Amino acid sequence: MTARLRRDPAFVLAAAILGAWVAVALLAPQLAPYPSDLQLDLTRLRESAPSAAHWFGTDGVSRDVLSRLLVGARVTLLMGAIAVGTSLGLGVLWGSAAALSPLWLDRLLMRTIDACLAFPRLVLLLSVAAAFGQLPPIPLAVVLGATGWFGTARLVRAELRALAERSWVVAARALGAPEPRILRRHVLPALVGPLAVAASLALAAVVPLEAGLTFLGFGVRAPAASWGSLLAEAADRPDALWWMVLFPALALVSVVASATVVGDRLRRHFDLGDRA
Amino acid sequence: MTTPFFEVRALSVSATSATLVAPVDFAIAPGRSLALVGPSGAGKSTIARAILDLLPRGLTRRGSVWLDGVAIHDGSGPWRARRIGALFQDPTTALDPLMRIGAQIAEVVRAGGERDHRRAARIAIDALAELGIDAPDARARQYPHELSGGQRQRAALARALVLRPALLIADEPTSALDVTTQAQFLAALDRRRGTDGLAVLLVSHDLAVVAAHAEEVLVLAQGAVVERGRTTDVLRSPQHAITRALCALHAPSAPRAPHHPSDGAPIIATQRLTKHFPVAAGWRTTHTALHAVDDVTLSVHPGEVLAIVGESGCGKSTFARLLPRLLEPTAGAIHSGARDVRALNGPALRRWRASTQLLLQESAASLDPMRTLDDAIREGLRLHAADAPHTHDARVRAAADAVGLGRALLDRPPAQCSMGERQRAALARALVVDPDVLILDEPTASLDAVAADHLLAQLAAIQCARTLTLIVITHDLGIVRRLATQIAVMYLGRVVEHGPAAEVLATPAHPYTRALLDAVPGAAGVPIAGDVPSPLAPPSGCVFHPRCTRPDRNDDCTRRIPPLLDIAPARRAACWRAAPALPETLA
Repeated sequence: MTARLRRDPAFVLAAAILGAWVAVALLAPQLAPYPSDLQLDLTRLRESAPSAAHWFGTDGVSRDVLSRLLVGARVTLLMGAIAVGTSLGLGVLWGSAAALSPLWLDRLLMRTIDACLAFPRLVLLLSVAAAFGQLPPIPLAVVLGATGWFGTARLVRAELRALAERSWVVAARALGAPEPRILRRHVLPALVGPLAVAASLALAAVVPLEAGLTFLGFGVRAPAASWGSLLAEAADRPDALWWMVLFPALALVSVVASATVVGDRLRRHFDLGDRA
Repeated sequence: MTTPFFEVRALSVSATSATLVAPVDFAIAPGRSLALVGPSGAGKSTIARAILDLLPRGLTRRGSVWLDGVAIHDGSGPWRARRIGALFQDPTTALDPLMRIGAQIAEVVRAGGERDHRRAARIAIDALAELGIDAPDARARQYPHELSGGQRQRAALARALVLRPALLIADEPTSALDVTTQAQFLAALDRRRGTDGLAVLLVSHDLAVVAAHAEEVLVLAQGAVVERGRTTDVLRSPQHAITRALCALHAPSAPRAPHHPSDGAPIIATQRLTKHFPVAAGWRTTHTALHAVDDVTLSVHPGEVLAIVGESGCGKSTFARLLPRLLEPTAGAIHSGARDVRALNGPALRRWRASTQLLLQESAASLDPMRTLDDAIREGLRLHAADAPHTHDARVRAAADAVGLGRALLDRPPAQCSMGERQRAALARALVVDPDVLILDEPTASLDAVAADHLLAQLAAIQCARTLTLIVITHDLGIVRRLATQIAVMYLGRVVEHGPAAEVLATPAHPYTRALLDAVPGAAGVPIAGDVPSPLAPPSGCVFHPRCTRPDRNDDCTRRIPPLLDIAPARRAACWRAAPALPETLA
């Protein structure tokens, strides 16, 4: 990361928020004031509003919302990471296969992508859910990733095609460099920028999608917690249980907004580097 | 004395912390032309932009600008737009790529008050015709990318002049054009000065253009006028050091003596080398071919400097890429000594590429933006040098010194270096592997006059010191005069003339060579009309016949392709009328 990005306050703040959430996810059991799945007192502590003892209140079966939020960060962020990793991996493989293929195969691969892009992502996910029923978190994350890589594949193919024509790639060939070396030294490093951007934007898309799926009943199953499941539990009475909506939603917004800012700043950074 | 009709009084431009242009005064009478010259960063373009109120935000303008006795101020936008036309350097960005040429000009006509759409379109076509654009009706219906660079710039000029402004501000209008289109453009401009009394403010770094097309000149350096006067006086006896330096850059140098090589084998010889690019035409893809390089037989001997000249689109750059086999020829042969270059592959091909270095056009962009200059120069050594890596440091530094690249720059990425510095780094990268042949594709195209001069001086020194063989692709005859020992003139993919530089420049045998020489600013000749025909459908017979002005051209020219034949010792030309001694049997 270069000095220019480090001096950009928006980028630094967003990266710090993301870093803080990763730390929270790792340390959640230590940070959480109560065990996240402990029903504290079913008679007196059900659905109690935020108080000194329970900052974010309690839920319908007297569990501490703050603790569930912190532990839920683990599931949500892990699923996000797995989904983004899956979609980047598939996108890079498919996109570079298309870029390096003969014209007819390239066309076939890209038209397939176009067909896939025609289906809304949620429809794809719901049809998987209909076929396999409720999935455990990690397979669910893989499915999330597997429905979100089409754009990445297009990006990778376009970038590789453009890079192959770049002057410095031709210059390396003119210098007598072998093709694998040109790919390794002059093409792939230039792909890192766009991919970093794609990753952060994919994260911003996946986290709310997980929440949405859980909300619809296909996501994480109780007593495990994710931000989506917290929201889902309060879904029928959001006005009465405002603390169960507000805090997970704020957490969600902070992650998505930070990932978007990081992605956007990275994009601008690599754009400028390209042009200069 | 009458009041000058365009006048700038105490115009200055400043940013918050610094003055960019010190107060300047000048005036231009109708039909006259005043040139602003100076090295890059002297403030020439800033003055032009200040007059047009196009300064970037944060810069403030002081002083006043008067046209026809009326002061132009910030509120006089539409009036100014009618009275002052503007034209900028890059013809590719000046026009909207998504609008037809005619519509773009008609838009200006309507902005000028014309209500009738059809009449506006008619005026637009007339404006194109007036600037010598052939088939103006067809051009008006085309998009900018369908036009050649010269046509685009003339279309932009037509748009700037369609409202018959009193003044045209032209900022480096011909820098991106080759010599023949530049001559056509400047001739069109001069005509409008004569017929309409158009006044011109010309911003240029090219003193040859200024000498031929401006009566008065203002020399700027670091935002201040250092010298002014009549162009002829200033250029004949420059007073200020900056002016003298600029003039020295443009002093015509005598062509270099022909190189007399040892009668050894040529270092590169092509036989009937041809490159056609397949072009899909329409649906069901009926393939036609773009004839980029056609039937080129040329040889270069060790130590020669061969200049390949011709207008853009003549196949020069394609030819340059064929030699190191960055492109595969469609037909023909390339030999180096006894080696058949087309048969090479794998490591042998990579060694051939290393020994025949190509410096790409816009070589400043040929540096990987993520690697330092040092890393770029070192790459060739990592690939090819047999010696231990610790000796590479010294060789990288030696290469940097040889091209005049400061060692402090080596640790920087390209983005932190100037165009000239990047160009020199690309040159160092090519030289560090000790090539036998260096091919330079338009080496000075992206440099200002001072940086270009610097680079050419270094190239000449390096070529002498190492007995390097150079192949220089260019449309700039100034470079040819300075460097070349041999010249090959290309037209539409074919070599039309080849011979020793001094002889070709003194007594051109082919009408196209003569046309190129006549197009040099200040030359007495009439600029050649028209544009290079499409290489998709080259003309029949001699490809040059549609533009040929030889009075003795005849049916042979339109029917049969003239071969490149000896016309004198060491000289060849492909013209039916240039070879009086042509034996009948060959014809």
